[in-house]
Amino acid sequence: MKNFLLKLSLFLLPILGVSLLLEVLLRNIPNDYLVKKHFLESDDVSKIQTFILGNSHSYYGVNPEYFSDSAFNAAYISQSLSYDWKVFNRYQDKMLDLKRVFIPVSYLSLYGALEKGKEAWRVKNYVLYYKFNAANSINDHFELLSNNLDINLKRIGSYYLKHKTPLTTSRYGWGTDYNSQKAKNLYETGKTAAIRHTRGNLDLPENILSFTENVSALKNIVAVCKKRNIEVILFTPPAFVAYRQHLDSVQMSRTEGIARQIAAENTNCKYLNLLDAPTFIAGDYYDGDHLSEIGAKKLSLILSSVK
Amino acid sequence: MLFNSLDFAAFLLIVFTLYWFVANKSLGMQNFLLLVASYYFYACWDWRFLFLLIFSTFLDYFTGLRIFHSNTKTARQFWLWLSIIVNLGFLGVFKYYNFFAVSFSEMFGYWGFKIHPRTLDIILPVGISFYTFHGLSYVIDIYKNRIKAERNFVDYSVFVSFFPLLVAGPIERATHLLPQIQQRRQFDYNKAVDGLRQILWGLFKKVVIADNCAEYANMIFNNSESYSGSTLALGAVFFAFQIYGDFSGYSDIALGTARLFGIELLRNFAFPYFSRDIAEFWRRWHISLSTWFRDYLYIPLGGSKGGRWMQVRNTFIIFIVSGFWHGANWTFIVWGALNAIYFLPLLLAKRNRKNLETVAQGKIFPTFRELIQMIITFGFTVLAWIFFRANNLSHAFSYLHEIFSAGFFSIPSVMPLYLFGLMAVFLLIEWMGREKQYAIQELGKKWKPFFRYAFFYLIVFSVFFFYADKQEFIYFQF
Repeated sequence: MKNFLLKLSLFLLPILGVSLLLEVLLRNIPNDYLVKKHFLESDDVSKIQTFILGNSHSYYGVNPEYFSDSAFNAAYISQSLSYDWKVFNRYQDKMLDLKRVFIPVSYLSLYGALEKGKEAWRVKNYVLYYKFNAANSINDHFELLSNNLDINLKRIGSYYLKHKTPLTTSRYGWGTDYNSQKAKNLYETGKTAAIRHTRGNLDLPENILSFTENVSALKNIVAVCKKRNIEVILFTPPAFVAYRQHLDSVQMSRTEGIARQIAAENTNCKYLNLLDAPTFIAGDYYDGDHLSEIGAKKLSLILSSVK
Repeated sequence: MLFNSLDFAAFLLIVFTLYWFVANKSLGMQNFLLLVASYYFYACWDWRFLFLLIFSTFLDYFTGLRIFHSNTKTARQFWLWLSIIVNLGFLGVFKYYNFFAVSFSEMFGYWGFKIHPRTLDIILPVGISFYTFHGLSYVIDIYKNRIKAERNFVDYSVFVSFFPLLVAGPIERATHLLPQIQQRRQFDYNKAVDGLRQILWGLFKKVVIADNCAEYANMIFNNSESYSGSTLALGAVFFAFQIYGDFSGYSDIALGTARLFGIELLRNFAFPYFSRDIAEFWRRWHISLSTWFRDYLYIPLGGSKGGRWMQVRNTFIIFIVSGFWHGANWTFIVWGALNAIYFLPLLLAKRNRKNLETVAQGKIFPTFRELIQMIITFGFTVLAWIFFRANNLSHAFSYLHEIFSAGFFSIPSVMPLYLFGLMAVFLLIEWMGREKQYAIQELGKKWKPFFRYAFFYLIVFSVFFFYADKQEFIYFQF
């Protein structure tokens, strides 16, 4: 046994050494989560009057610079409602001047969960950088194990050797990456995204579970806001026609129904459905379900003017 | 908890340490530890189904004892059938209820009667097909007087639930595994090293080969209407490598893990893609299932004793049942039937036991004839895999229709050169190790340490390089 353990340790030692080095290098690469966290932990947080939560639809679609008051966008790619709740709950008592919270209720919002599916690797960002107790596996505690080595080596090479910044977040948390100059085929991406976001049988146990957790998170945010006399504006963001055409009507109507119900039950809450708002034209989109900087300006101005 | 996750590595390290350093003083403690670890492992999937596993274990333990101690044939038959009906009943409800409900409704609809089937929204308990077959083989073996009933409930439970084989096999036999569980196990350096090698090779097969092939196989199968015949043919080849890498990789990790605890599991794969005919392929693919069906279905049905036509009938039955075992879908049934059709000419010509030894035994290269035989057998297998992978029969037939069109002679629109390279290296290593239990069992043992370590570090590097979190194994759904 001694011989076995000794030889195994000798074999594993270089692997562990290299892994440790890579982990340190990866953790020292700046990232959008840290940018947001630093802002939310700075003195500026007390000045926030408008707080924006949600997934990529609001990360890329709502630019705080077009709000007349002091706004911050805490949304991020695939950030599901339970993570919105975690972020809001962590920082809400520091936002002393908070007046309004914007939360997107997209087609997938009530049936999506960050920890399930292809984007689950992002959970580690909430564990490592926001320091949330959200890990589903040991992998979520390590940069190195949340992606394959190919991606990690490319990240290290890009930052340390080519000196490229991986940041895509503006000072106020808006996603700058979806530029109209780089817009994708709206028809193809719209169809693909709608299919990807469709959950099929909504009565399956896993869908019921996601739905329950997301609605509960949404209600938690609304309840805290109500106590503090903060207005909550739920909105369904605009999407290109190719995306809308491929949506499942049951999933969409249940999602919209919950948003309307919460708005009706809470005096501090409003709901705005902009899914097929005619204001938004093809030129406003980056892809089938995301706005470019042009569309983001339009949406931000609409939201900022909500009375 | 997937085998290809750090969670499993941590779990394995803890159980291994407790097993050899804390529980090593008594066999009872070792077995109890294995049982607790196995139940914890299973509960990580879905703790609710742990109760079903425990119930199934208790049922077979109890009926096994009753059969063994019954004096009359009627009583023995009663307990045997109780076990069979309850076990297959659970399997039927969880796995096949919706299939039968929908199929009957469609059949009546075809005759003009409208029936709205009541389907169940239930999750398939992971590993149910595997542990049900463990239990069934145990009670049948007692009934047939091949073994005595096990009195120790912990030992019996470890036989059913031993974590390396719990969720996707190999399907063990009480005659093989129970004696090992009942015997004191001593740490064996060579066995442990061998186990680690096999785990590493299993990880390579799963992470490097299967998961990379899956990316392209999924892309092609999910958008098959957009691709030419040649690309679809390539997609089917990718799936053939995916399912082999996935399932045999899983089996390698299971066998290697068991060996770390001093336990030998049944071999499940023996380089099936180097088979020279379909009969040889089925002696080398999912061996523990094939032999299970041979011993508990084919032979009780009369096997080959009742004349040629009974042999043909029984062959069709076991292939179709084997297909159905994989899942409640007509695609699996057709896959099974197609393999039976492939098998039929060999059976009728009495050539189904022609290629019993490993191809090109003791030689570096196969003969030209052997090479052609292997390519043809692989080609037939790939065609059958199309049914296995397709979403439904219509998808499978349209996929095949496009392959057998002029589009087959076009240049494929998907050409991942790096993957071709990986597959070539994989085939080469498999070929070099085809006379061993697994490909790298002896590879590098006579090399200088520098080259040997470099080889193993390269495998580790490639696993990390391609590793992607949460890639499940195909056979977990069965």
